[in-house]
Amino acid sequence: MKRMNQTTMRRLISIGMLVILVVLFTILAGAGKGKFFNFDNLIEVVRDASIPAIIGVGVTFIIITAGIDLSTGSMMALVGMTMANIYAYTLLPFSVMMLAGILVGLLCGLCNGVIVAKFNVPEFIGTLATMSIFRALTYIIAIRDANGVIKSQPMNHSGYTWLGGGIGKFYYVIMAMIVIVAAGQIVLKFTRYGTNLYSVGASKKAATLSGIDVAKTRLIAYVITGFTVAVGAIFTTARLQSATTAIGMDFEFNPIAAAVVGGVALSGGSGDVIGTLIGALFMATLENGVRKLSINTAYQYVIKGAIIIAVVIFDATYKARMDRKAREEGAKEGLE
Amino acid sequence: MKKRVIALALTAIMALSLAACGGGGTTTREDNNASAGAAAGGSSAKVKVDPYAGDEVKIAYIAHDIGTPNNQGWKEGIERECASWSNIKVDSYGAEESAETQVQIMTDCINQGYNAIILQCSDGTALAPSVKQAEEAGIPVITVNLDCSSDTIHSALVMAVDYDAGRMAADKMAEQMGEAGDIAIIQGVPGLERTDNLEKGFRDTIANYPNIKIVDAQSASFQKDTAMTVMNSFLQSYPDLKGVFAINDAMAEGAALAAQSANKKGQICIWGADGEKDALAMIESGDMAGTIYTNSWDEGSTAAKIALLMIGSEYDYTCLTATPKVIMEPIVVTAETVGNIAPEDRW
Repeated sequence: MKRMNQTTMRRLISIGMLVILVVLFTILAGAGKGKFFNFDNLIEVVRDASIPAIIGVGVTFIIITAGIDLSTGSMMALVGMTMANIYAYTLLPFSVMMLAGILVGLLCGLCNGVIVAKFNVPEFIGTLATMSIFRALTYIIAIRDANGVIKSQPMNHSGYTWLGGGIGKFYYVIMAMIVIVAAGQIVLKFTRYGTNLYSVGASKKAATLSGIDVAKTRLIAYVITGFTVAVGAIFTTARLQSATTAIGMDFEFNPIAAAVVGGVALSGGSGDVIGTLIGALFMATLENGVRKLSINTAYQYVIKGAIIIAVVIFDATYKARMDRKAREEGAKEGLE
Repeated sequence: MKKRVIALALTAIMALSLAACGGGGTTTREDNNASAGAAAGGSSAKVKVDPYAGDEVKIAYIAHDIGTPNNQGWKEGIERECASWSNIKVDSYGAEESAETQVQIMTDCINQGYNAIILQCSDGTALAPSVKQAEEAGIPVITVNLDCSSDTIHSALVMAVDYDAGRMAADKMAEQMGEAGDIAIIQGVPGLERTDNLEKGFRDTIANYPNIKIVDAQSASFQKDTAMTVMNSFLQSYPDLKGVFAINDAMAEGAALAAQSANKKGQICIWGADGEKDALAMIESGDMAGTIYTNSWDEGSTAAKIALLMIGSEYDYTCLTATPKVIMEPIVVTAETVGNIAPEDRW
């Protein structure tokens, strides 16, 4: 019951923050023609939030197990460049390109999972290492001209043009996000695997004792992240209609930030995918709104950083308070 | 005012009626105030406003990384050009060195209905769809230094010389080195057209000097501090190194500092390209041998002038079969000629 309260309250807080931000920007940027609060702009915000939200689904799974993945940005670049190679050097159809991209994503995720879960390398170090390995692989397979200089590969395939668009303003990337977020939420809340994720995050020892294969649970979370990254990469290349070595540079922060703002505690064991979606929307709103106010974009990073710190402090103190209360009442926190 | 409203209405009606018969990018001039350049398929949405007659005009400047001296120079140039008209507003955006972010900002600016966009492409290929979208929405796009892929026709490209800057640097460097010795290149981020062309121009020209050998080429990502590390490793591996060509000035400065701390100041012929203030000072002090100077302020204001021309006329991308290029004057700067660059031209 207590946990329920905390989750609900945390959800209300993240929704509240999003609403406050929207209202704030509507007032500040709305003077005159309503630069912020209009359909075209709001749909653009959702579009910008889509890719961090899609990848955030996988990252949320990992963070719930008290892990982290820093390699998502580099992974995106590698997936994109794999598809670019197929596009540039073969005549294989679009579906094969996509499948190959997804396969590479899954393999990268598996790689992370094996390193982290099987060999017990700390997540932070393991995925930091694969972050640079994936980026380097991208450079190695990058498409070069006759002089050996890397060039950006245009992907003018009609499939990409199609994927980059949508039905009117309802972009396909938004639809994909809705599907993946919904699927993620269902897995988390209504399957045994979802329950296992929370148990592993709450206490690895207790999870092992209750018969959960901790390593396997964590490994699968990394593979799922690989899949979501591949989907994100496909939509990114579709929007850019090209693959570059720089795709996803410094991107890994975004899904993590979305998850944290949305109430997924870095200490593991709490939060969900819907929260991450709200967090991604919050971040995209912030970025978009700051641009409308014509203030230096650097402040946006200060605000982002400050909000993340505030949220983490809130989560930690709130959890400590609830734990103390629970102890005082003599009620042991169940493992569920 | 009334006349203008009527003109706008006329434009709209004509854009609709001419949609089917535009053909070949011809523009139709009906009277002095109203005209419609109807693209095939009726996609040209350009509404003519006159920035010099007091109409409200807003221009967006979108930089790859707004913090660099080059970008600050362009921004300053654009703002100076527009400063005399209170009805012209310039907004600057930085894409934090990410093509994905830049594409998002482009979409945002198109939605906000800017009259023109001045863009330094993070990546020519990745930005091409956005540039096309903007032009189709009637927003002229003027690219600065970095073109977007060649089949995307847009209003103009204002650039510093690339291939020829490499050529000029190579010739002057060869002269300073007595046409013999080992050279290393410090590269930027691979895959950027301008810097790739610079390097190509340099390599092609050095090939004419049989006694000069390019022994190594390493990337320092345009960063001064990374260039110091790269230069140190060059100094270790090639004790006889006679020359270094860095693709931009920041890296040349880093290389010069590394040479200085290895007690090789002035012994290695270090060249950069751009011509920023700090590099010019280092040429004066003898730390660097030379650079190819381009006036960034002029470059920015040229871009702004073209933007205002495109906004204030019925001239748009549908009239063009290739993107017009304006190439800024390159000036070869060495210790002998650095004094010719006046303090007010140093950005």
